[in-house]
Amino acid sequence: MTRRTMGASALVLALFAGPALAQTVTPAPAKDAKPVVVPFELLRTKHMAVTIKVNGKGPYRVIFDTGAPMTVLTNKVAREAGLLQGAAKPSLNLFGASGGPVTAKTLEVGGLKAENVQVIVMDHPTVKELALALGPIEGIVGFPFFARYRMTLDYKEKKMTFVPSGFEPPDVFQAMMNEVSALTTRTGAKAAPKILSPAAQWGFVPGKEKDDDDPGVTVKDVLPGGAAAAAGLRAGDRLLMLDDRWTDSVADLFLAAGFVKPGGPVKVVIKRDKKDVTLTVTPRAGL
Amino acid sequence: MRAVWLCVAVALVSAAPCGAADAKKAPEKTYQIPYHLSATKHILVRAKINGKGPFNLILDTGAPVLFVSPQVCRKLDVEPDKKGWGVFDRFELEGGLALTKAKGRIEEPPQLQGMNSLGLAGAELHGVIGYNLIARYRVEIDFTRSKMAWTDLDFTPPAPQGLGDGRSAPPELDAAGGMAKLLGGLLGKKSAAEAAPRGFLGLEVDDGGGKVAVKAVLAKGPAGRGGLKAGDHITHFDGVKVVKASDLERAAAQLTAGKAVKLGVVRGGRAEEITVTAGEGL
Repeated sequence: MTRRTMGASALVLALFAGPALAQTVTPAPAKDAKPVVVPFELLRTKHMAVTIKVNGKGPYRVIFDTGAPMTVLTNKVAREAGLLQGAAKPSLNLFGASGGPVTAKTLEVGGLKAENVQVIVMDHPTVKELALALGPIEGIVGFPFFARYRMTLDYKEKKMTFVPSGFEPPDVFQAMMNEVSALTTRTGAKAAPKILSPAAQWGFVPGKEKDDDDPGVTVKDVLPGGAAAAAGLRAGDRLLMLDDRWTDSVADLFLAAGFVKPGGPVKVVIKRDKKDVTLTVTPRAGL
Repeated sequence: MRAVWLCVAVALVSAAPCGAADAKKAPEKTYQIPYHLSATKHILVRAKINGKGPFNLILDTGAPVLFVSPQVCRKLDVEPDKKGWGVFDRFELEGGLALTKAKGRIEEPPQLQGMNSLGLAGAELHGVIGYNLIARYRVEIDFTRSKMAWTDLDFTPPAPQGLGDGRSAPPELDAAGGMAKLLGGLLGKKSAAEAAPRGFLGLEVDDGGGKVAVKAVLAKGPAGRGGLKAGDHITHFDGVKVVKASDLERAAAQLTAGKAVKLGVVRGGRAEEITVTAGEGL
């Protein structure tokens, strides 16, 4: 990693109010797993604060943040919980950030205990500012922690509920670093477009003219024998929504179709003869 | 104590228990809200505001209120008041949840500014959905599902109070957003990633027995015109060996319309090669 990418990465970390990372251990999606209820404190600023322990040390008050792709803890916590032992020294010290993610053996949030959670050690400016006004706050808990669970937020009851979902959070930090090095090496070069793949075969051809700003896309052709034809879709229909997602561009339609696996009947809303009609389409395995 | 007695008295008169309000409440309404995870692992939801959009917003409990970027508000002709707030007559989330007169900050937080100028999220970010909107719902998030469940709580959250200095972001973070913008400018990266639909072949596959069997071919589709037939087994996609449907999907992940591909197939025990030109469609 060059000094330049290092600087860029520290900057990226700062922007993310809470970088976090790869999880090596994911709780099994145990069917009999009991939901764990974690009460939270609603701060004056309406941030959610929870109490955590890191490697058994603590408790520490931190912000719980669905908008944080990473988990960030202060240098104070890192020292007390022994997070930086053997960690690389940063080449550029911005906000006292660690050179890369470190692993907390255990991260307990209320009564919920996760193992091997990636953490960024950094005295984040938002955290500092909040702590100044609201008392001790030692970091932000983000995606790498909560993504493992089916999580319910309830501000009325001031509690969250967690059940392991079996989801394995991807390595956000690595992905981000790849992006950043791509940024710094590919100067001027045009990035290849991202190809949007449907997860199933539908059997129709959508289209939209450049100057067409109306909602939906036009069905240009429906292939005989395909899933769309079987559901009654016709050429000339205006496709407005696919499985509850708006389809105002061909790209949006493909994005929506990327979430629908073969076999699941889903609703497709079209406009035909000035009326909204809902069709049920069962897309097939294929491409 | 007085309140309890009053309640008992009322109960006697009305012959209804004190908790009657709860019992009579209409069943809770739950919305299925589609989302997707950005490249930066932010939860992105889409909203149409005053009929325009859709706009990409981050679901963020770290934000006290709804934020909508000034660029979007200019498009909507929504003017900020003296303190930077705007009112959106109709705010509709994908999934059917619609609010009227939604209040939010007309402002682009530095995190968004930074991510947009570096193009990190893979999509342009237009705003943030924060506490004042999220708190009205019980929100269930499960990354093994493609939608969240938002249940209306019939709850009006109290207004957030700032830290008292009228700023929404610490100065260092403002600076970081500015630096990212500068860096993004130098590197020439835009926030809206270009997207292209995958090409279409019009073949149905049957996965099983360690083979990719063609279950059906749409006669008027590209594969049908190229001569592929139901019952063929696909063994190669442009020279890449495929043994499962997922192999085929992976091999075809960068296929765009107009591109010709060579399919290695086994038909009636004989290996053949069929050239198919991908078309538009799905």
